[in-house]
Amino acid sequence: MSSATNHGPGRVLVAIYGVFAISATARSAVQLVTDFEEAPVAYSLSALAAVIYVVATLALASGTPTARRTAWVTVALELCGVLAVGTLSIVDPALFPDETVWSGYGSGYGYAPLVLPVLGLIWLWRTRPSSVGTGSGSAASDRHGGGAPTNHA
Amino acid sequence: MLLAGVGALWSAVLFTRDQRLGDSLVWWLTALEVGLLLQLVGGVIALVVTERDVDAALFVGYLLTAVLMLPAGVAWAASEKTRWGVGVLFVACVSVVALAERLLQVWQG
Repeated sequence: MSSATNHGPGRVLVAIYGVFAISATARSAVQLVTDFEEAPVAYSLSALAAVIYVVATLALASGTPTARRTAWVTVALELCGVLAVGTLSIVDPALFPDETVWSGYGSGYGYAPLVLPVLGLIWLWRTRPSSVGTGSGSAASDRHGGGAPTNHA
Repeated sequence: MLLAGVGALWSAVLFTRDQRLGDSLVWWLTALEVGLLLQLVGGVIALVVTERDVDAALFVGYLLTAVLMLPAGVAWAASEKTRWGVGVLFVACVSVVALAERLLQVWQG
């Protein structure tokens, strides 16, 4: 049960991811149901973002070796997404008549969408299983004891 | 909103002092949760009574999310035996504050 990504600071990280997963999903559901034609690009991206947040949350919360790989992929995708959409929304605002989570690098959410994947990647890196181990998450589980005070989420 | 703000501050203080979840914060969170339940009931009544053009689905969605936020936070924090458990509650309280703000925005249209 005690695997690295979901303990210590990771506990808080998963909580924040959970909040974003819920809000992104809810927002996207409302957008898709009410007026998809208005901004298809923005709303499709909202839906994609929601899926990524949900998968990343579940992967970080579970912490098995497979989930860890999934977490790497989704968190990296999330970083690419926020950078790409953030840049596009500034260069070509016409593409995004309505906001997405990632517009303006997540400025509508206090830039949390930009900071979160960076923290996620740092956390995944810090909790990576040692090369000696079998690659199982438990190899690093002894780290969660006192938490890692420097890696503040 | 104020209650949640104090809850957030409280858990932040516990976090920085490297403490774990204590009875007093649990009572506070319980009071906050009761407040959120009252907010749900009051909000729905207000929605039915009002003449305003409020997005009902959105409004009730926020009301319900606010009610679920603390139980979810406590459940997730409970099995964490370090200071980070309180950190989770901090996140939950801040989220409740954010939800309250969004509720006001939706209400004002």
